[in-house]
Amino acid sequence: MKKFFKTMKAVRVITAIAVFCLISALFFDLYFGLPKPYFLNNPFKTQFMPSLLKMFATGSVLAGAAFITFSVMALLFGRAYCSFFCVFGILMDGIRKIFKFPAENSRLKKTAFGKFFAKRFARLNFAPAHNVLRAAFLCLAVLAIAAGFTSLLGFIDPYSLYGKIMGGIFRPAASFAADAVSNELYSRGIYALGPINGDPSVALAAFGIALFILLAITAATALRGRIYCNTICPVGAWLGLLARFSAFKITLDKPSCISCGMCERECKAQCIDAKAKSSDFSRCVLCFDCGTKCPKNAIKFRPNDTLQKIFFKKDAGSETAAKNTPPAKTGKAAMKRRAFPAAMLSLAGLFCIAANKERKRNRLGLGKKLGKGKGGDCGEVKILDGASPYGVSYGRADKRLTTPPGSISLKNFSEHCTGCLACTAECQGQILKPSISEWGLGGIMQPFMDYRVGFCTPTCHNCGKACPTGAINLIMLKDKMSVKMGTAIFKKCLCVVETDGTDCAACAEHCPVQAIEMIPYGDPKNSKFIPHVHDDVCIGCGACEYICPVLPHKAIVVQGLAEHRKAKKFEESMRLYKPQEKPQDYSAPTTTPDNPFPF
Amino acid sequence: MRRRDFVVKTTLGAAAAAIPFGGNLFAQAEKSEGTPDLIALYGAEADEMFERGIKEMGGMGRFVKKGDSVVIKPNIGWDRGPEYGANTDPKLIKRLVKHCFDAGAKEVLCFDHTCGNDWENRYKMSGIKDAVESEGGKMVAGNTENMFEDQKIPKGKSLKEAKVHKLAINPDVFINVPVLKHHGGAKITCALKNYMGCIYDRQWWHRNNMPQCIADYATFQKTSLTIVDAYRVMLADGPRGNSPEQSPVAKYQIISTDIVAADVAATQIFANVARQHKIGTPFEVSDIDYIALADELGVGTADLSKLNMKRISMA
Repeated sequence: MKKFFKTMKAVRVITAIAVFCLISALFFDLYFGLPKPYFLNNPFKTQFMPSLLKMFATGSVLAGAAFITFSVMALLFGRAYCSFFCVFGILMDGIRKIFKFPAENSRLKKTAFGKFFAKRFARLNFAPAHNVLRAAFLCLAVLAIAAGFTSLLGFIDPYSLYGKIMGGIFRPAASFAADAVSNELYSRGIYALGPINGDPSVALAAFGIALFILLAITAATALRGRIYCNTICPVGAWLGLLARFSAFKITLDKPSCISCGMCERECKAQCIDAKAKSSDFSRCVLCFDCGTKCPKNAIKFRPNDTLQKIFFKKDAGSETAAKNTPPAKTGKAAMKRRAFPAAMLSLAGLFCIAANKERKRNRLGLGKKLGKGKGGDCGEVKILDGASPYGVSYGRADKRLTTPPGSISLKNFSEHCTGCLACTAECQGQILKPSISEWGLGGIMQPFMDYRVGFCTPTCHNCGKACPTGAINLIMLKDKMSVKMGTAIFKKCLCVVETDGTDCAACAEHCPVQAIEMIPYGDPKNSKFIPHVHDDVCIGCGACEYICPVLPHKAIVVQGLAEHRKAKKFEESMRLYKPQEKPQDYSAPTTTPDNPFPF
Repeated sequence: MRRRDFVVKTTLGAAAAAIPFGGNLFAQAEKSEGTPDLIALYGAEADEMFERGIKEMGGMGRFVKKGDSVVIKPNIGWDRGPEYGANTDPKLIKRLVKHCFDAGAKEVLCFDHTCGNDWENRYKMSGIKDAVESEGGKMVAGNTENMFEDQKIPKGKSLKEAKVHKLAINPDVFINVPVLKHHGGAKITCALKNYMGCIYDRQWWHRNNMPQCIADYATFQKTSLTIVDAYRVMLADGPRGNSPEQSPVAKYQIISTDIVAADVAATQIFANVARQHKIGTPFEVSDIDYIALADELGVGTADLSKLNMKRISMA
């Protein structure tokens, strides 16, 4: 049996490292060099919660493959997902390995440093289950999915927490590091490594949130192992619920167990009680560590008691954990134990209600309160039909945020995005940024498109390729130019052609769909041209807003749509200014076959 | 810098003056002897025309000396394939890099401040990254601010100082390889306007009399050679382009030591192609504001008759 445990542990470690590296590769894809097969067989598909959300978003059972597979596996073997595939779990195992290192390293072991780590972090003891909390968080997750508050879900779901850490800390850090290396090389005339595209920074608050998550999980893991997985994680709670009925279980063989405690101190889930010779399989993350340490070969991976009775006609006598646990507390003690989760759940409930109210309030977040542009308030504020209600805290009042191409609508986006930030890592223009207040209370850390730092590149659909939850669907590049995310709103009173009387046309120049036409302006003798936006043609990519030279308030800004539409293709008949009205003189070609040159 | 410029210019001027013009400055410029200042080519693939043109120009060795570091500045503004004619033809760039190395260049560097911060994507999509790197040249990023240095532009009228890309500041050899196309703002974009990819804050130009800024910057930028790619000419909806149909294959190319003259010739070619294909506006040279302004500032000459010009038809 020991051999089996050792083999399984090796398989787990290899699988875990492979999964972690493959998924993390996307967050470190600084130069967008990941090959097509990577996205065709997206490793993100192995993640539990995204797969569940995508199944709901697309209605395709195939998208929910990971959800179904791992749920069925939990019924057969227990929570294999938690140790083999869950990136956040693998991250925690890595953190745990680091904290155990000084206690295990042969040189450090005997020093005070090593002893300190051995005493504090290396050994764990059995701890009772927090089943009420687990159930509470599972309910919260179910409610969040049902009510469409996935941004809240993103703060308890393991994959999204991992994504927040990666996208909020490691990706920007790696980008800045690559940039620094590139600068150094460039200054020496070595042009081997270019700087990264765009501006990789994220809002300080977003970085702070990610840092808090990282520090909290590091502390929790160092002191209590997989405490998060068995308290907060809704995936762990769900799979644990199924694992209670698992066909195979890790059990302590009572006759051979000597209660030495080797397995108990190894168990990161703190679910083995060596004294009672029992294990709580609903909390076991199936890391297979315990069996490798058992000196008596007393830890078995075998069919559960019921199956044993049916098939082997014997009572293994190991499934007595329930009987051995202390009797449930009654009266005041029970009240006390339940008060905390109850309070927490009601707080979460209040949060949901508040966020929902805010959404209903015309879905206008902090943006409206602060969004009165100070210098940009000349002229009328034009709000088109179907405009997204989310404004920004800077700039013009008619500026509205857009959701990424392929997100179909604000509703679809906000109800399926858990804020894992995978799209922000793949965004070629680096304009997708984690939000803080932009999407209001109900959308913290869901990405928004920041046209201050760039625009949505016409030849990029990476966010759709990266998104695992169905919040952003993949659209083909040929279709991208017909997906209307918003409409450019032009304010003449801010334009340099009006204020300075110079030619500009930067917006028309950068428009990828010919939505901006330069029409004659003022005295025809001056031959000045001013932009005119063809609303139906504009796709809201933000190229005009980004390039507009007017400061501090852009003369042209994108007003996002609450629901994406199909943009019209520009046709000559739409042209307002037709210089051909006095027909263009195409006659008198000045060249002959002998001399093809006009000079 | 200025002294060096002066020396180069006077040497070139003296060389030009020394060339016997055969007494006639008009239609018979082809017949004149000596190395020409401007060569207009027609009727073949972009790289073939360049091959022939540079040979007539006296070979690449006339501009690139052994051990020189060559900087090529094509137009790589847009995330468009070569069929749109929005960026310089990659085949031409490939052949150019090869010639630079054959002439003994130490290194060939190529950059552009692309119109969007996804520079790597644009380098790739234009096909220029492949073209340069397959011949051993290097692509250098032109979008990060730290690649730019503040420079004074003493002769500038509107533009007195600018943040200029390090590679464009006092290079051994600087080759400007624009593509000829229509431009919504400047009417035509070609050699002079291609310099906008050398500076950091283009928006400032848009705010402050762009034609004057274009001309001002040209007084600062040292250029050894201008090669105008007019293999495809985008006649309308420039500079980004809407469909490849609006960028017909015209098969022209201009190789010139005088950047203003190159723009003048290019404008005439543009008008000619526009008439042939009945697309866009056949602009007159006088419509393009920055040409006259650059001529005024002494960047070059807008009078083609002052040059030793050679016309070559390869059709």
